Amino acid sequence: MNDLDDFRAALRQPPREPFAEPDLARIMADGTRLRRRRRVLTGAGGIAAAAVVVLVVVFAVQLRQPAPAPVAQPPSAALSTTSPAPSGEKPMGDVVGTGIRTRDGRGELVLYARAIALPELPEVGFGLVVGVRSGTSLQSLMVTNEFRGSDRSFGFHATDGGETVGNQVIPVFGYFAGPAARITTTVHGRTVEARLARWSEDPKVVIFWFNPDVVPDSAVLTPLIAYDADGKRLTK
Amino acid sequence: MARGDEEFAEFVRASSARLTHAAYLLTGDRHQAEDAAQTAFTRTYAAWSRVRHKDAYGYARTVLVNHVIDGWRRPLREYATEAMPERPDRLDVDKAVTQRAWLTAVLKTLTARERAVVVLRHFFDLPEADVARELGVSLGTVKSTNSRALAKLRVEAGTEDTLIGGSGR
Repeated sequence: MNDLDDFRAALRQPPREPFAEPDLARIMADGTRLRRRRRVLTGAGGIAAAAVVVLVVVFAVQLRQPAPAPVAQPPSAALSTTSPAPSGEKPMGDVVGTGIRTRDGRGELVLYARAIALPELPEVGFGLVVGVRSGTSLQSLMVTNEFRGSDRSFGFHATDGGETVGNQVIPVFGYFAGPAARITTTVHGRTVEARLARWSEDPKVVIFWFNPDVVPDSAVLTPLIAYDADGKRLTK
Repeated sequence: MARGDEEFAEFVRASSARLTHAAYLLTGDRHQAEDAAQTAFTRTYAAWSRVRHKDAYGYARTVLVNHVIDGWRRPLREYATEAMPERPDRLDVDKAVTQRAWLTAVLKTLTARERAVVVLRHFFDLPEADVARELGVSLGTVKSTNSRALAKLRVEAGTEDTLIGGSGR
């Protein structure tokens, strides 16, 4: 046995006292809450109809009120451009292009909001969708939404993605309610910046996503940090 | 309990000691290690439907290692110890206890990346290419980091872990 074998044996030597057993009940409860974000939208068949009702209300309100004056945005190279939604899906507000082509080359990955009206989530009016825009068609791939409290309370909401759906890599995405001008995470110890776009329906909501080449998997994601335009940290 | 949950509970039972042990080697702190394992299992449970028939253990390991390295809520301490503890005598009557103490002390002399490479390579026994993928670094970086770490620990590397020419390729 050489030195390396000794070292490996020492590494694998069990501790003097066994480690505490993981709390399985808490793991399952916390893990279920993480899952639930996505299930709320994908699991309920009646949501689309409810969403249409909400959209009608939203549009009616908009028709009665003059369009708000454009809000000056702080300069940020990371802020993306948005465009009116193509027909088909019924997004709330503009569709945000990510600039990421789908693997089959037929479209672009986009992000947009979709209305929600669920009695069990009285303070949640929208969720975030990752979809594919191809010409004028829009197809959703993954939907996620806040499931605790208000959908616009200060902070991060509905962070999801970082996985493959079908043959398509879904970037890690979500939104921040607040004046975020920069959002970062760390991957393998290196800081990575998200791309940002203000939601046309509510400029206090900032949609973000990470380049999947840099953040390929949700397993490598660390807690997100938001900064304002002055570089002040907005989150712990 | 649903079948998937039973499988998950079995997975936790089978893998928790090893993953928590790895977290302890990475952090040097029992409580941090137990918290890191809890977090890794929680995120694995959230993804269980898509990882249960693939490589659930690999997923949990990746979550755990990145969680610890990137300092999820608990920044990893960097040790600046210069003094190396004495290597225990192999014939020590209480070799296990002495080795344990030695190991804890020497791991503190490594940087976070060196510890991660050492744990993935020599505790989990991952090939160097897999270590590189897991840490998001080049194969050369894994080779050179491993070589440097073993040299710091004064462990004589085997042939497979010797960096020929020091080029990192």
